[in-house]
Amino acid sequence: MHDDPAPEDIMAAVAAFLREGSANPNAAARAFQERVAQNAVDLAQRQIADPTSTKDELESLLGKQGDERALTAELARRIRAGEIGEATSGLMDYLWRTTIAKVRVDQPNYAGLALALKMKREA
Amino acid sequence: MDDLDATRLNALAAKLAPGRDDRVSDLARLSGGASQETWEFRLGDARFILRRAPGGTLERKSGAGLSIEAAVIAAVAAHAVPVPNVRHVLSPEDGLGLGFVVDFVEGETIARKLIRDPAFADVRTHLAADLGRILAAIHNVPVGALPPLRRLGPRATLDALREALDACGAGRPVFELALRWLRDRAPPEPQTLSLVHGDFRLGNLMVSAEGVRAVLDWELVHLGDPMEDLGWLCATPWRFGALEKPVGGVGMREDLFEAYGQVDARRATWWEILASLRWGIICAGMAPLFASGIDRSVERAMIARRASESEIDLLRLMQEHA
Repeated sequence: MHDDPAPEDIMAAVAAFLREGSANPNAAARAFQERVAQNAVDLAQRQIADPTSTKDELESLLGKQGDERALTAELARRIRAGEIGEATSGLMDYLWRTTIAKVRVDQPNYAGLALALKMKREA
Repeated sequence: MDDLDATRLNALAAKLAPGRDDRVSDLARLSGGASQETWEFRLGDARFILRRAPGGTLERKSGAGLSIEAAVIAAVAAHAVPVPNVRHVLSPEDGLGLGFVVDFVEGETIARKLIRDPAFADVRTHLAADLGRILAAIHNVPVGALPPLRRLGPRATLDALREALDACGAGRPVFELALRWLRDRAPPEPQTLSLVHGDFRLGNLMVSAEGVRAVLDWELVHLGDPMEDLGWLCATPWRFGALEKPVGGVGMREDLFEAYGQVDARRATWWEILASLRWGIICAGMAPLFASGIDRSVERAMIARRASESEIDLLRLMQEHA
């Protein structure tokens, strides 16, 4: 369900940054890169701790079995082809649920998340 | 550090400050601008900015090209658009690659500071209206005064997004749905295309405590639907958390629209929603760049993981404007 890069690839990039240090001689730029690295570790930690799986929901939505990534690609393909759309029962609920779960891992303090949740509550 | 030949830059001194014998000093690469290099330097008391293709030669295919960009900046200066003064367009004999030199303009471009810093409290009271007037001036520049530019109306923009989404690799159901939603609701092509800046937001403006000093970064300039610039300026990603202020996190649409003049609000809204999709696809496009090894930086990885922000915005916007 979660997007690329995967936590192990993010951690590898953080490790390389820590090992090699910043190539940037500018102190402010270096401080920025360090903050980004801290946030990256937090993100990877949140994703590892996140038990959410959308496999079952995807299988019932698409009527076929498979792994989450392949099924997500299949869902994208069917939306593109117009075989599935806004009017398809369960689609919008599925997209809302998975997207909220993704943003909670990627950027839990994103202001747009709070706004979207408020709109959902009031709808 | 990056290779900018200071000797060759010194050779430009005669063109930039004729009749003087100044040497280049305080040469520094400025942060920001992933697709172009921006350098600052001094000749005596005079400060200059060099915009250059990465490594001098690599121009982005979606951009207008640096010589076109310089020609547009010079053209709009004559039509009440605040821009930096173009001093020199690099030629092959300069040996510095593709680019141009402008006078340095003092001010702030960091959106978060413009949105929150008390130093800009006064500017914020009139910034939305100022931006409306500047956009009107840009869109009124006679096309005949401009170099040849790409023509990108709503349909061509949707086609470009389709291509960019394909390049993201992994399947993205929300972006697919949003693209379809936008296609179904696409406005008709405008009868005449106007000059469109293409990336008009606080991060590309030089703002002082008095107001807007210059409109920068004309890299994505094209002929298109003028409502595109209004929609892009109001898009959720550029509000940096200040969601209640649609105009770049600093002002209200009413003030922007009133100062602009004739606004097709439905069109502007369509472009605003498209802006979230476009930004989301830009973020998602970082994932294959990271995976390919072209850029394994943590920053690249983290931008890729911001695509979900646009997905949640798009779900909200599609529901709001159903």
